[in-house]
Amino acid sequence: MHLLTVGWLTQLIIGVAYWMFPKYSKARPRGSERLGWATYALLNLGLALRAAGEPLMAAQPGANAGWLLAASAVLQMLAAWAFVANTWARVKSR
Amino acid sequence: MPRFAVWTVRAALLHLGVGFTLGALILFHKGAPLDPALWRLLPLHVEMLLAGWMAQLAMGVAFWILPRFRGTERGNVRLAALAVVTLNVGVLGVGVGGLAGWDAAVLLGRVAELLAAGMFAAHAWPRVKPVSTSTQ
Ligand code: HEM
Repeated sequence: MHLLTVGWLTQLIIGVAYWMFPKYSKARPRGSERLGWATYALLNLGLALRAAGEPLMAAQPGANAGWLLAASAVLQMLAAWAFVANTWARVKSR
Repeated sequence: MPRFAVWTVRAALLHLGVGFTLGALILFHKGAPLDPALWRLLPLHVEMLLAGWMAQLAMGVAFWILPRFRGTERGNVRLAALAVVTLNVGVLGVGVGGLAGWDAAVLLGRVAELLAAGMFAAHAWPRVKPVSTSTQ
């Protein structure tokens, strides 16, 4: 379910927004490129940890699988705020 | 991007940030227990991300980008604005109502979401047309 809504739908939106939203400035049309890559890395790492952690957790609930989920949670949350921060100023009237 | 679309898309971005944060709290708790009450955030999480983020972003971008009338006009802007406000009321109704266990708020919130969808569709319907270079 979240591989679909986060991994596909939200990530597609993030990618297309990064590409097509109004330019941040002439010199830096897409805002911070580093923040863009950070969003991508955090989101996908976070999702991968969840994809691994959820079945592990179901198979044998315990501290190790639990920490995978906790780390996944933090990474995905950071990804969202990185995207919001980088996109906010690009959503503007001319 | 027109101002109305700016505010709609920004509201959607806020729903994304907060919705992911709520999801992260629940997920963290699932892995490393914090407080069982965090599960009560689930309906707000779902509502903020499906309606507040995805549907609202679609509305903002559609308002911005669909073909216009006579060059610049975007049709019934009031109706679009009412749809966006009603959607946000609906998200809060369903989400907070779900959190607090107020069934009436959840029901009213759902009705508001449905109305919002209808109003936005009514706004966008005439704008979904072939782009023409003439004055129409
Ligand atoms: C656009 C993005 C997202 C959408 C549309 C979404 C939607 C949903 C929906 C519909 C549910 C209820 C169905 C279910 O239990 O699977 C749910 C549950 C949940 N979501 Fe999300 N979600 C999104 C992102 C996230 C993120 C980023 C996180 C964590 C960082 C998260 C964490 C959770 C958790 C922990 C549950 C409860 C799962 C369980 O029952 O074990 N979600 N979400």
